[in-house]
Amino acid sequence: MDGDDYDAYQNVEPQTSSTMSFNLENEIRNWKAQLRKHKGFEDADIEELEDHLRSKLATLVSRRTSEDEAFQAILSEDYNDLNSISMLYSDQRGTSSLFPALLANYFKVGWRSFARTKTYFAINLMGLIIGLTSVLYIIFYVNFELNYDSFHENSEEIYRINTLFERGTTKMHYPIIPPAFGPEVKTSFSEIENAARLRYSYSVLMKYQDQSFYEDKVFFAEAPFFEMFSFKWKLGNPEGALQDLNTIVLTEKMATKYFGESDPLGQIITYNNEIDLKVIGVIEDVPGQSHFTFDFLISFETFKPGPGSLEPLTSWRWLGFLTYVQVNPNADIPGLEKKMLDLFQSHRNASNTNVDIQLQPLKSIYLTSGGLSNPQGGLFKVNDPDNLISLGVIAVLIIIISFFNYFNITSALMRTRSKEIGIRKVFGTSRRKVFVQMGSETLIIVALASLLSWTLILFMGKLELFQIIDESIIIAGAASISILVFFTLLSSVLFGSTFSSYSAMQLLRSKLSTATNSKFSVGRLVLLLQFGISAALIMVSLIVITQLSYFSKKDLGYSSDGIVMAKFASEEMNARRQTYVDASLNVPGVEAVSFGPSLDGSTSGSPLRLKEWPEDQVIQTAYFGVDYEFDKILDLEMVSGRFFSKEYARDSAEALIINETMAEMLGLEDPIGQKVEFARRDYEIVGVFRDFHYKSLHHEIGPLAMELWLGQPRNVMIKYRTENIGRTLQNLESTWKEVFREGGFPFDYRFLDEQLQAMYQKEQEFATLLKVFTSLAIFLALLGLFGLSSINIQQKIKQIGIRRVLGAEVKQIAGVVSKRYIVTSVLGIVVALPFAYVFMKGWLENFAYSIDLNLGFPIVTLLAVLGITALTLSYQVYRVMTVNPSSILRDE
Amino acid sequence: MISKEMIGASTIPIILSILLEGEDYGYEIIRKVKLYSGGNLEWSEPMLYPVLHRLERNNHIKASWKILENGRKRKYYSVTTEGKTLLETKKSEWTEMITMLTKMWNLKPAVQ
Repeated sequence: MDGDDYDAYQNVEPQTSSTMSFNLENEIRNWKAQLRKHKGFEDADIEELEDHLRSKLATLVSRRTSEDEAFQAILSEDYNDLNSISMLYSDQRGTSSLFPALLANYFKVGWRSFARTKTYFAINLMGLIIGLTSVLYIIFYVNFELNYDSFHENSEEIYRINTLFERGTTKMHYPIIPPAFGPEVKTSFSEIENAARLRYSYSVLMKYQDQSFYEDKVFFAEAPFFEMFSFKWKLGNPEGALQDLNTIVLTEKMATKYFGESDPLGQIITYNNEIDLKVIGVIEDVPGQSHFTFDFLISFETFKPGPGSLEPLTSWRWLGFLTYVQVNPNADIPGLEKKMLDLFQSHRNASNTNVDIQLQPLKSIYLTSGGLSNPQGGLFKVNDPDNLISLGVIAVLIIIISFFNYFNITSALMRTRSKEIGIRKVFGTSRRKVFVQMGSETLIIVALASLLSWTLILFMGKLELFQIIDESIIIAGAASISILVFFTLLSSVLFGSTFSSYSAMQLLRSKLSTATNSKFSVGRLVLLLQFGISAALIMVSLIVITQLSYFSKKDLGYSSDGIVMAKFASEEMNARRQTYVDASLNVPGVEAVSFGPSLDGSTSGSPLRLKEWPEDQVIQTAYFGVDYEFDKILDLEMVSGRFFSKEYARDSAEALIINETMAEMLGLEDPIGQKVEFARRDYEIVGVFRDFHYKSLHHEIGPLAMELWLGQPRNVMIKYRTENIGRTLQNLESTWKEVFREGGFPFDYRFLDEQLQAMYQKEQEFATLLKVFTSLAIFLALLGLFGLSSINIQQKIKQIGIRRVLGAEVKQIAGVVSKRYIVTSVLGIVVALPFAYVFMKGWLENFAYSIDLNLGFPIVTLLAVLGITALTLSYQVYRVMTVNPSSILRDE
Repeated sequence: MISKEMIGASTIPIILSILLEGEDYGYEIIRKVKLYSGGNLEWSEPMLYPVLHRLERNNHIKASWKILENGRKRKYYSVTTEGKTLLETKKSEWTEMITMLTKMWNLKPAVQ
């Protein structure tokens, strides 16, 4: 080539020169290099085009245009889309029309167009990855939640027997039944193949050699338990397990905790310093997908009703036993429930309550037990199906936002590619081919995003956490593929038809109006929807977060600060109770020591009625047994009457204090001095105390009664001043060790406020998920907004450049480009927020105590969206303003 | 604005007509089209060259490289016998159409 020597010479010129002079030969050389990168151009084509370029240049220069300007003008006018020109060259050469080859070509062109628009490609890809990963995660999470207890082979045939009582106006729903019931149904009804009773053993001191620990996850279980439930055995033999007296099965984690490396089988663990239990088996830790959890199972034979118990194991009145039954696969469940109810009724003689029996399917226990009284809060997991629905809704929203983003950004980009499509149309490319081309480009990017999302999900290790089962992989895979197909089809139809509707000349002239220019257009509607959805999501997340933080801040009616609780559950300890109280009160900072309820949300209850009321009119009432100091711990405020006092000798026998709710339910002006019957004993009401939240905030405050209880406690509560906590606790621990040197009772303390937080663990887990996914959805919406405005502004870049040259100010330009977005976004928000408002109102009704939905939420949302929009736009305007206008004009 | 159908149909006869006047190169062809149309029709090179190449492959025109005075190369196109035949066909088609339409428009002026 004859220009080469000259080019080479020019290249030697130092580039540090401050005035970068325009070098035509260099520029042409670069331009030709660009052409060579495209497969459509052969050497001869390039030479022909070079000649053309030079001829055109000569003409323009003769019209007193500078060489520099002329060159830039030609490049931007004729060669700004080398891809499509190259494709025309290959097209006329007769590219094989065989489908795969054609498709490969589209992929190639698509890939090039991605490479050309790296930023938007990255935005699109990132948006899709975030969207797909979120959706996959939610699918795995929801599927996990939906499949609780399905790991048991017999899960379809196992039911839990629940009881429903209706006394007066109160309804109670318990997962427990009397001890005589289980064995009786098994022998009476042929449909029932197996039955197992479980009895919760309250906090237990487990001792092996010289180490002892308090354990909370302990049950007595009947032998058929392991025949019905498929817990995996690591050591020992499940056959006949738990049949013998004083035998125990424990989990792997506990085996390691107690025995370390040595063989656990045959070892002896001492229960509450009373009973020696022989380890006969070790099972794998209870899977996360089990609605109840345990660390130890002791043979049911070992269980003896305690000395305080009024009822024997043959009782039909003692509600205290979880009972699971395995039924014949063909059993008629409603019929069986009826027969069981008849059996139950025939053994009861109390007529003042309506009772019903429910067989609750094992697999649905986790999600349908929200309304059940949960006697041992921490060991039974429940979730609200509404949470899963909310997550599902968010997943769908995320996918919609992802698609809107993709559609918005891609269609904006497509407008810059209109020349390519237009030329193809002149050559008679069929409509179908345009569809295929648009579809295949979407296919590449969504497939790539799916691949990366799956990699991400797999590497996050979440699959392990969810103990992912084949089923969810299949569901998630199917979802992945559906999304891929949906995106591909929809985008090929949307983009393809957009282009088919324009004539080739329009496309060639690149005079396609940007869709958002016109007052009503699909692009603008999409933008509006997108704003609406982002705004709705922002408001939803604001409300959710506010409601959940309200939980932690809501006044419980007492102060949970500065209270520490410890297990005090043995007779040996109780024998030294006074010594311990005196010693603890000597610790500086300690204000009160009391023995009472555990305040973990669990309560027991009994019927209460005024003596003057008829026999069958009762109020089911929660009950706390407390000592003389309990009011000091909670700063209990007496509304009328008095707290228990040592001055009244009869307090320990027949005094009862009640809360305001109870007083109101009794309907008396002055309940003080009233005689009542409570738990079949006679009492006199001596005081009414201010309501406080003794259960979690999910529940409204119900009727509560307190009685003086000076017998064996379960807990000791210590209230202390909150300064110098570290030293106070140290002193408390050494006092404990001093008093309880013998017996090896550990100072196993916990803070009341932490324990209260644990009651909202599920909410907090859900809140975290919700926060993460709503943040992602918001982020996605913003990403789309950012990408979309960038493209649109770049299309207006020439206009802005000219305005700047003409001396326009930043304000004016910013106004021109942002007016439309502001109008569209406000419109979108105004449309969407009422929907979100109504939806959240419904959600808040799930809570007994909820925040008020005031106008602050929509206002904050509006400000947030507008603020973020303004930020994105200012960034874009800033970018335009800081670029040299001549370079903008040149690029165009 | 001339419709895409018209442009599509007229491209080949226009190119062949210009080349009938004598051999020519791409830039000049575009310039002449603009000139003859009074500026109403402006072709771009990405549109023209592929059409030229296709005509060349179908033997309607032939191309040859010439060395210019300044030592550069330029590709000239000229019409072949087959091209002339093709142009004759196109010419009669267009003439027929124009004659017919002119007649119709003369008979009925002011068609709304």
